[in-house]
Amino acid sequence: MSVFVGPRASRGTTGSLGGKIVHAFLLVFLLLIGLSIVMIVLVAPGTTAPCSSGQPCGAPPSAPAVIRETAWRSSQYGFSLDYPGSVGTVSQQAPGRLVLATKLDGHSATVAIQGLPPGTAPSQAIAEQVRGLKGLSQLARDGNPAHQLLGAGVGYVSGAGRAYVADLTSPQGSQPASVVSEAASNGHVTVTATVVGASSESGPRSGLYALADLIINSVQWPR
Amino acid sequence: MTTCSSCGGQTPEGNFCVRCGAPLAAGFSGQSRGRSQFAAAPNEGVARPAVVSTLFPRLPRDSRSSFRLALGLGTVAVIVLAALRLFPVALIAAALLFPTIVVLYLVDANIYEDEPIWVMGLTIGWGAAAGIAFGLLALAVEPSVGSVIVNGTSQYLVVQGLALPLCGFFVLLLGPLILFRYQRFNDVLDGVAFGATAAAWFSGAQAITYGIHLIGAGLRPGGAVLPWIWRLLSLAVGMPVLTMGAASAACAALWLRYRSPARDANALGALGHPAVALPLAGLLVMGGAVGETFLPAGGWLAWLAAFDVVAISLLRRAIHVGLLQESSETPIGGALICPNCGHLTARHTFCGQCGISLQASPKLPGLKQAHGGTGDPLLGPSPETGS
Repeated sequence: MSVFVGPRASRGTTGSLGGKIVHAFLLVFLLLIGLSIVMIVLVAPGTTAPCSSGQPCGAPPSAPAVIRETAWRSSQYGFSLDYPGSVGTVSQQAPGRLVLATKLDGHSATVAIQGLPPGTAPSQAIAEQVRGLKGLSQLARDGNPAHQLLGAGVGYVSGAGRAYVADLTSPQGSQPASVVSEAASNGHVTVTATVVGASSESGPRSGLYALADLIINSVQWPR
Repeated sequence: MTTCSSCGGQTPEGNFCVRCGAPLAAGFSGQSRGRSQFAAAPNEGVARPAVVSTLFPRLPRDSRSSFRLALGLGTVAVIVLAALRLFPVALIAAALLFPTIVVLYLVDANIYEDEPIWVMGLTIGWGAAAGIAFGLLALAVEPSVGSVIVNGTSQYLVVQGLALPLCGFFVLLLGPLILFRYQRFNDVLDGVAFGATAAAWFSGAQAITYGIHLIGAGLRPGGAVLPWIWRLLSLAVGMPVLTMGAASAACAALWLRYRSPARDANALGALGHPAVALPLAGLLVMGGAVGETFLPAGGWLAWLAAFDVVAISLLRRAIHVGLLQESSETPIGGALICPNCGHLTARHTFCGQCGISLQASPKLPGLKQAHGGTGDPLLGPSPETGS
């Protein structure tokens, strides 16, 4: 078979941009990235100054009105707590564990209280409970100094506290979540309390943290 | 001139029949669609699931390399932004990667000919509006944090994993279908372009809308880098390629069945029937999305890659068959320069040198009237007249 191979034409005759596409793409893409950086900086929340331990740190958070206190007691570990039944509902309970669901300002959140055997160090208890939380992705320690827990404890017993960031993910995308966990031990039982909520509704002066403080401070240790 | 063993027509001597695209090599027999070279990119095999040549079939060979490079650079940019912990910026970059490339493709290949504004606005606008609507819907019906913490991501299974992806897919298809009634957009590749455009903008708009709270959390909101990279790659490439491939395959089947000559309507067999093609495309998108609800971030990316291969393969077959059904009895015209290989070829349906379908080229006035037209600025001597 004879093969006719004609002369090659210059790219300009095809009407295609050819190699200029890369330049056009980089220009447009970098422009979009730049615009997104400007937009994110403009809508970003203001920087919150970190509080100092033992020092006053602004106005107290606004706590939701307590209409009805509901008591719950761990049949396994003997500790008990109160929670406002008007804003918190039981999502899951077990002899040593209670998970409360709440909705504040249209955003759902959860407070999980869990007992652990004596001898479990508070930091170890926090790691164990956070590891057991389902549905969180991209979990990492929160490095923001303003988000660190100062004077962490449970039921007025000093302990440990840690702040994390994570995402609640679905096929449609990601939503940022804040996770804070406190734990303390009285030698008979170790109790951890973990709060998970949307990042936009979390923080030291948020209604969610005020509600969590109410519940965590209400813990009565077994004698 | 020689006689093509596939279509029986007279064709200039060369590598391929300019009428049906069949190889003129002695060893080839049967219908031209049985050839191994992809009709829109003859240097690639039909079975090769190449993303760029399948989603953007009108690109000449040189431009395909540029688009591959652009796609690669965009993906690297997303990874770098994530590695720098600029997650909200990386999310926006990931969501806009394919929409940006699609717009460049539409302009480069002149898909919308001389009516670019309203047609481009319709396909892009419809896809973006549907994506925003389904992003807001997904936020409105999301399960409570408490139920997710207690029960895990299975809480997203039914609504976010199955119902929304399936419904969203069929809603995004309504945009291309509006253009279905315009006779001027009667090529299979027109349907492919409309489906891909609407799908790319749907995916991007949905990801940004659903992640709007992340965008409001500051430049560096924190999080584990590696899972973020997997997730961003899923949102930047995995999910858009799947949605674009499925939407384009569904549109290709519709266009081939109802916009092609009657003899071509059944070329794709059962897979080309709308009653099969549309549900299959919807199931592909739904199957890819639902993996997120039970797999870790890296696992979901691998899951999506498998679905991407299936969607791209289906689309590639539809394009290949659609283009190779274009054998025509019309006379062979003068010579023109092939936009793909740059060699002179007789003006008809396929390039006699590289075998590309001349329909799979940027839309140029000269190529639009390829069957027997004269007066082309690129003309050389006519192989039939010798003039």
